[in-house]
Amino acid sequence: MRALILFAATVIACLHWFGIVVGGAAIGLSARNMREAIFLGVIFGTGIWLLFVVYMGVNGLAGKYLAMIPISYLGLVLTVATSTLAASLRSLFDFKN
Amino acid sequence: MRVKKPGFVPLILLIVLLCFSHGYMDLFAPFSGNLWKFSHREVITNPYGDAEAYYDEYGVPHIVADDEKALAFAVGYVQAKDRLFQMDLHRRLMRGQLSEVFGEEFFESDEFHVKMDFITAAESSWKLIKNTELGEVLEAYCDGVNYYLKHNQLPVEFKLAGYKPVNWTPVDTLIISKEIAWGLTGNFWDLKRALIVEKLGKDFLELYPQYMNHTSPIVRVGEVSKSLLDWLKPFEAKSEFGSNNWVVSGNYTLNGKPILANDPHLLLTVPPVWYEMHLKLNGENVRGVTFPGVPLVIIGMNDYLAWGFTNVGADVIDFYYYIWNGSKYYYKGEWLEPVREIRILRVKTDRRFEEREVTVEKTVHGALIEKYGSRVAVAWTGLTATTEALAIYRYNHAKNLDEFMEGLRYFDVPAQNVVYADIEGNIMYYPAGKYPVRLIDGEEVPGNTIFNGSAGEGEWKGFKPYGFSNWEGFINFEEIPHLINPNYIATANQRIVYNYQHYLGDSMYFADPYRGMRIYEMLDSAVKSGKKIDVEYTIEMQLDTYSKPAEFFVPYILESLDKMDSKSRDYASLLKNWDFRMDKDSVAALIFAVWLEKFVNETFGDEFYSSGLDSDFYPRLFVLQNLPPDSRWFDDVTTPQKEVRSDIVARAMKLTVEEIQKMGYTVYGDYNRLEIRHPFSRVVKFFDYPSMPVNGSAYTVFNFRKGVQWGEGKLQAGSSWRMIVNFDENLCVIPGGNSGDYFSKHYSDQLKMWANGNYKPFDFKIRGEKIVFRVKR
Repeated sequence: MRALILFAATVIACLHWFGIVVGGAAIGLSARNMREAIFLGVIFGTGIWLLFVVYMGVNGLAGKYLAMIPISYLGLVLTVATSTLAASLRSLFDFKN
Repeated sequence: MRVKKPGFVPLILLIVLLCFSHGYMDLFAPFSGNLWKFSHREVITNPYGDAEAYYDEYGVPHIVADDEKALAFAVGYVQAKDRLFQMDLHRRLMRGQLSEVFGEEFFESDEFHVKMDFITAAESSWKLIKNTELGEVLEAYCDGVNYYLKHNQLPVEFKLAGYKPVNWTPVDTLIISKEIAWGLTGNFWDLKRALIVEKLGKDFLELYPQYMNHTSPIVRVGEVSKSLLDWLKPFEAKSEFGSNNWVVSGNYTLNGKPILANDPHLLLTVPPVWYEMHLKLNGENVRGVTFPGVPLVIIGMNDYLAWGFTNVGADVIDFYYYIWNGSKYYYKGEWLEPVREIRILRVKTDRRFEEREVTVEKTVHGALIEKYGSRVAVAWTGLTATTEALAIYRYNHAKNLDEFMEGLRYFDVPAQNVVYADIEGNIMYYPAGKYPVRLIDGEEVPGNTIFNGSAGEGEWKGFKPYGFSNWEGFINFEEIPHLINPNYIATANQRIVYNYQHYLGDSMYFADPYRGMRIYEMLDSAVKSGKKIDVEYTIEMQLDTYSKPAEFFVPYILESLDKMDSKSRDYASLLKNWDFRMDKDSVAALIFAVWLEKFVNETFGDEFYSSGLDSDFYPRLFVLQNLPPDSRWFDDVTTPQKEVRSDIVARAMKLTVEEIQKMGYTVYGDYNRLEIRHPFSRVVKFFDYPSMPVNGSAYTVFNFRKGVQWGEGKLQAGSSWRMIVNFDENLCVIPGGNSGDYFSKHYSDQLKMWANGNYKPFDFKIRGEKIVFRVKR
């Protein structure tokens, strides 16, 4: 189930950047606790960015992209910050009742 | 399920983050960011007919069509694909629209360009050209540019700057040619000369020889101020721009055909100033370089002939002062109101946009420039309808010398030293252009002065600013000194000819003769030795780093050793066995380059800076070289004792040692580094080309100028295109890449080749990745 959520989150994050918020939140909600949600949020954001670097690499543009300082690094920071904060929204809900 | 209070913190943080970052995310979020949307069209609808464009291994488009307008449409499309941002930037500069997108720091540039009203001059040119054979070609070209603009993703720069360009028009193409012309001939030396006389006295004119004797300037104190010149400085033609070209008759070449070489020295920019293309119309080829925005090959070759340019540098700009009565100026017995028009400029500021008024004023002579209490009218040959685009069109289509020369007649501005060679074995040199003749009381006078506009002195007969000129009072085309089928000829912006009957410019209009001397030296030596000149020898010439200034100045250094301290002497001694080559791994070249800079400053700085004038006003290096050792200019006016040349040589060497040690330079390449920048360099560096050590100097044939004042900063200049044609093995290279698209593999693929002195084939072979242009059927 979690793998399916991760897959779906990745797809929507690739389609539009707001997908990083939605995907991050979904991953956070699937976590067992807040700590895990934050961890998964960081992994998800970093993963999306790395996937993009690979995509650029396939097109022969990874070096050019990484050289686009600060754009490439800002892209990483914002993606990770967005996905982590979105995953942290888990704290809005208490699943233990 | 219940909501916990502390859970709101991540939500609030997320909302804050999204508020601040959504603009960035729109632009460069992984995958979905706007920056990563690329267009890739292989079939384009062409309203004018079928065409095909093939991108070769260096990103050079080879465009093939049977209809000229279909070809022009395709040229427009590929130029926009590769250089749209550069095209837009240049038209914005000339139209005075930079501050609208890049902020108020560009307002002064906009104000200058609007006051000069280049746009009206370009519109006049269009009116003249519209009904010629070029008119419809230009319109088809614009349609190609605009098709790209409408159907494709914009280049990254537009997305980062946050604006969309408007449609391209024929006037935009013609304003690009005005820009080039202004950049080569928009020279304010006449004003500087007047200020030198005012601040330092007429004695100083001995530093600027020729035409300074009986025609001393009619200068009125206060007509020009340093503040006005400081304001104008960023917009002036750069004296650093020069070029080399030469052409050798087949009698002296290995393959028996003429050989032609050209390397224009312009700004080194990202992307390069030139765009290379090959056009094939009805089986007829023409290949070479153009300025993006222009659909014709400006320098290049076709199936029959080749041609190249260097700047003549002649004085084709004059300044006029008037007697004023309020808002009216006195002109030949009448009080006239300048033609006035208020233009509104949209300026981007910290608080969005504001509108500012600029008053455009014109007198009978040209644009009126008023700043800091100084007011002069400017007449420049480009401020009227001109037809150089038509000349270039004729060159592209010419099949022989006669047809090419017919085109030369249309070349108005900037006057260019045109060299020509053809497959029939003809060679030619013609400094084509419009050269004004100035008269005072019927006597011809030089133009390096500010004329009394009220008395109608020095005005150009037949010149109508912003209208249609008949060029009646200009030097006749046939009268311009030229050579047809000489043995060989070399031009490097040096004076065209001595003792010519008309004034063409004083010593400050023409370059120091060092490059010209060296080129002739190499040609003479080959011819004298009986060596047949081939492509290899021509490459050797284009890449030659021998410094004529070093040859002349190093003896001055070596004869001053006894005035130096021991450290300076050690450094100076390294010049003893030097071969005078400005090579990147040379220690001697480093010492000489730094020393020369110090020596010039130490010689003239005391006189000029104490009068409020800077190094912009210094005379030519050749003048300094020829001053006698005890010339008064070597005396430092700030010291009680009298210095002679050897004292200044020693002092400059001491400063050289200090600078080299302070900067940690070890070889010339540490000092002489290639650093070619993109217009966005002040904000992000990734667009810039990689930095590397490079050979050459301002005075060598391998031309490289490491610091050219440009606006508030410095840019570099040098060989912006190297071309060698012998009709069997033709070669070329540009300093960078043909594509302005950062993500293209042709963004900088020729940079190292250029820096290391390598070339690529310059041929008519159609090859590479194809784009198809088809009529909608």
